[in-house]
Parts: sequence; structure tokens; C-alpha cells
Amino acid sequence: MAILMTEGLTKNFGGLRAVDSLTLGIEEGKLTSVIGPNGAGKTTLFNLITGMIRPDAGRALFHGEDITHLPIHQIVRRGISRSFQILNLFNELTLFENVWLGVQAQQGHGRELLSPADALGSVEAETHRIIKEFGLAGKEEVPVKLLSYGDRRILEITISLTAKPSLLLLDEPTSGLVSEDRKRISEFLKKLSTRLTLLVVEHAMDVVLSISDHIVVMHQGRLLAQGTSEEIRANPRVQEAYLGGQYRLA
Amino acid sequence: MGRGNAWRKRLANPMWAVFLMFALFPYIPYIGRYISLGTEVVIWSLFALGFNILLGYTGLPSFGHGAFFGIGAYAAGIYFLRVSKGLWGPLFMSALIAGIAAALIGFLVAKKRGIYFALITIAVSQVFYFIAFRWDDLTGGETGLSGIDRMDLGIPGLLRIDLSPPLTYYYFVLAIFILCTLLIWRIVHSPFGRVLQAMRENELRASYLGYHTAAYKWAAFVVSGLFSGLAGGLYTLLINSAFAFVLDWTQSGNVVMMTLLGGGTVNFFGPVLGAAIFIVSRDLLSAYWESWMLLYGLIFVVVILFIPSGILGLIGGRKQTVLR
Repeated sequence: MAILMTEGLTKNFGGLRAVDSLTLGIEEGKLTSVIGPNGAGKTTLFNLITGMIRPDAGRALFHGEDITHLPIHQIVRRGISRSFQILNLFNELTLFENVWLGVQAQQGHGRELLSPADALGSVEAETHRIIKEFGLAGKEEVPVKLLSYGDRRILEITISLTAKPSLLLLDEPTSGLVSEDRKRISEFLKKLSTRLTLLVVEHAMDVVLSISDHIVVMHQGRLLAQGTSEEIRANPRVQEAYLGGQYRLA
Repeated sequence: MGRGNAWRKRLANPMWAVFLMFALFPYIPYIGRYISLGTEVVIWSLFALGFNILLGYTGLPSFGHGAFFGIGAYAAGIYFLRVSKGLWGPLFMSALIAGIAAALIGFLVAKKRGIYFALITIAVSQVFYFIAFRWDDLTGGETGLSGIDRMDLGIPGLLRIDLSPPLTYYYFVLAIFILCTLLIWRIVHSPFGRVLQAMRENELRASYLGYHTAAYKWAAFVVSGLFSGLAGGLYTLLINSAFAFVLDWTQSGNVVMMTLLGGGTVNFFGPVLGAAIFIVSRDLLSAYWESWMLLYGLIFVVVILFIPSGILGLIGGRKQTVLR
């Protein structure tokens, strides 16, 4: 059963067709990876699905509901959350405050003008629980800009999860990480995929092949192929058009 | 944490020192004699604190905020002269009308950021300036409105306080200032206030956490407009009149300068310090030198160059306004 469907999704940037009539179904409960060379339209696809930009044609359906023209926060509240390729955090705030803001958004206290924020016990408790769950305990009071890059990558995913999404979009979660940290994130994603549907854009092939249930290959805004790791590895069109000597699939 | 501890923390708040200083101001030798100067400092402090909800806490450069001060000033005057001579009526209307104006303008600016936000607010404030200047029947045009007296404060038959002496009016304004400051303090430290600060740090991420950022910006704009309008109403009662000058663009510039000079982007009380320095130096310097603005401008440039976060940026390393 597809949790997310795109139907003929199209986005032009000037003369460039970034996403070209893309029709795609994302299976519920699976970890789907989107791969493709730079400029294939992967991040644009994420931006379209989450309401950051509007498509020129086509639509996106989430649980069968048309979400194409909803604003970002309403899409988030319906259960789609995302992380960013370029870290997108509250850099001046502490790790605790970053997570706290996400939990508060989820619990819906933002409209309270006159109560002290420090008195929100349930938000605080949930924040501590999440920080512990994701292995970030002990760093609560560290301003995010001073955290290690690996920790910030984890935090980027962690605060995307505070919205309690049923579908999480991860844009290059291992980007810029050394292999040790990449392994840490891979493990983390595998564990996560037992709880919710994941759609992951990733360049690191070792990560993609080891974690994905399903792989979607994009090329110049179009869907080139999709299937399991084995099917993609064996697909001659993928080998030719995308991998063509540059990458070797182990 | 024990209850006693929480109280100690509350009492250690610099807020009480600020209130005490203002309460003792009339008894400070030499400058204490200029009561209306003190009143003006308190009024501008309120205006700047309200303004700083946008600039310091939400990160929105409202460079036409004098509009709300001016609208409040005229609302109080017009209500007093046309509708009903009272004390609370004009003051209530100054906050209300400015709040309504902010709500309407808020729709225009809620989705804007940075320079576009700033430009629209400037343009809108200019519109109000010309309305005040041209709409003779309502605003008195160039001559403005006068004869707006301060009515007695009290409960009919029980208590009456004559607010016409400058000293009594000073304490009346101070009482309102204290109430509003407590209120603004609560707002910026509320869950709502933290969302504003989150938007200042990263608006896109805030919306990806599920916050309706445009609605929060609109609400911040309205709250800020209410306090600015009330400050304008108090000012009308201070000078017993309202002129188009209150809507002049330099007023909008002044509140920005005060807030930045004092350190409004890093400290809750930055705007108060900035307002005090601005108003006092205007009065003291202008007595000796007509071009005092030149000197003040120089001070401003030097402070911003060497302490970009403003004077209160010197104390406290970590931003005080950043959550917790």
C-alpha cells in the first residue's frame, strides 16, 4: 500500500526541467532510497513533496489526500517530516532547545502567550526522553554550533522526528561524514525503518545498498528505474546511464 | 528546585532594579527635576520594549514602527476630543486602534522577511504620516490636535487623583510601564515567545517543525503594535496634544537606534537603557549644541562598530533572550 503517491509531478527552473512528470509510489513501512547523479532532481522532489516549492504540473497524494498545495506546516502536521542536506538547525540555541522546540510544536503549546515556557513539564520530559533515545544525552546544554558534525547530523534527524511523522524524508543523511559516522547513521536508519516509512536521498552507495528495501533511480528529472538492490545492481540501463564507469557497485 | 529558590531567582531579576531606579528618578539630584524628561524616557522605554518583540525576539526589522506610536497618539487625542473626555477611554483606544492597524498591516508583511519586510513597514508608516498631515477634519492637519487634558484618576466618590501635575503623571505612566513590562516579560518567556525566537534563528526550520510561521509573525506584529500604540497614547496625554510629527519617519528611526544602542538584540532591558540614553542626551546635549544629533549619531556608530550587540552586549556572554 503506497503511503505517498506522486502523479506526473513536474517542476521547471527557467529552461531546466528539474523534475519531469514523475509518477512514483512509496510503500508504507519500507525504506526507499532515491539515487541519481547530481542534478537528477532528488532534492527538488523533496521540496515539492513537503510544500517548500509548488509544482508546475502534477500532484502529490499522502494517504490518498492531495497535499500538493498545502503549506509546509500543514504537511508536517499530516505526518511528513524531513531533514536537510545542508544542516538546518537553530545554531545559536542549545541541543536541548532545538529538540524542545520540535516537541512543543508537536504538543501544540505555541499559542500560549502568558504561561512560562519553563513550566511545560510534558515538553521537557519528552525532550529529555528523545535526547536520551538518540544517544545525545550529556550534550543538552551545548550550543548546536559547537557540536561535532556527526552529532549535528544525528540532531538534524532527531528534530525531524519530534513531529512524530509517519513518513520521513532524509536528504543525504550521511553527507560529509567519515566512514565511522556513516556506519553510525546507517545503523540508526535501519533501526528507524522498523518504526516508520523512510524516503532517503543518498550518494553513499555502500549505505544505500545495505539499508534500502527499495531503490528509485532518477536521471534528469525522470524515473529511470526502480527495484530492490539486486535488481538495480543488475539493471543495464542504470549501469549505463547513471553508473557508467564512475561508480562500481560492490 | 525548591519553591524558595524559584522566588530568589525571581527577585534577582534585574527588572526590579530597573523599576526601583525609575521610581526614585524624581529624587535624583539635578536631573530629577526634569520630571517630564523622565516621563518621556518611560514612555519611549515602553515603545522600545514593544518594538523589540519584533526586532530582538522575532528578528523582524520593522523600520516604520513609529506608525503605531503615532496611530496610538492620534487615537487617544481624537477619542478624547470627539467621543468622550476621560482617562482610560483614550488610552484604551490608543492600544486598540494601533492593534487593529497592526493586524491589518500584519497581513501584508507576515510572509515577508528581511529587507522586504523593512521596506513595506517604512512605506506604510509614510502613508499614515500623510494621512495625518492631510486629513484636516480628523487630525487637525498641520496644526494638529490640542487641548487633550489629563483627567483625574480614581473611582467616582471614593478616590480622586489629579494627574495634571507632572510628578503624579510620571508615577501614573510608571505604573502602566511596570504592568506592561511584566506582561511583555511573560510573553517573550512563554511558549509563544520561544517560537518567535526560533523563527529569528531559522524560520524555515521552524515551519518544518510544524509551526505556522506567518501566523506567529502576524501575532507578534499585533502584540508589538498594541504596546507601541499605548505608548503613543501616553505621549499624547504628556504633551496634551498630537501632531503629525509623532508619525514622522525619524521617530521610527529613533526607536531602532535606541533598541540597538542599548542592546535589545541580546538583553530584554536593552531598549530601556537605549531609550534613557537617547532621551537624556537629546535634552542635555541639545541645550548646549543645536547639532546634538551629530554627536549622538557618532556615539551610535562607534557603539555599533565596536559592540555590535549594543551596550548590554558587554555584560553576559550568552544571549539572554535566547530561550531559557
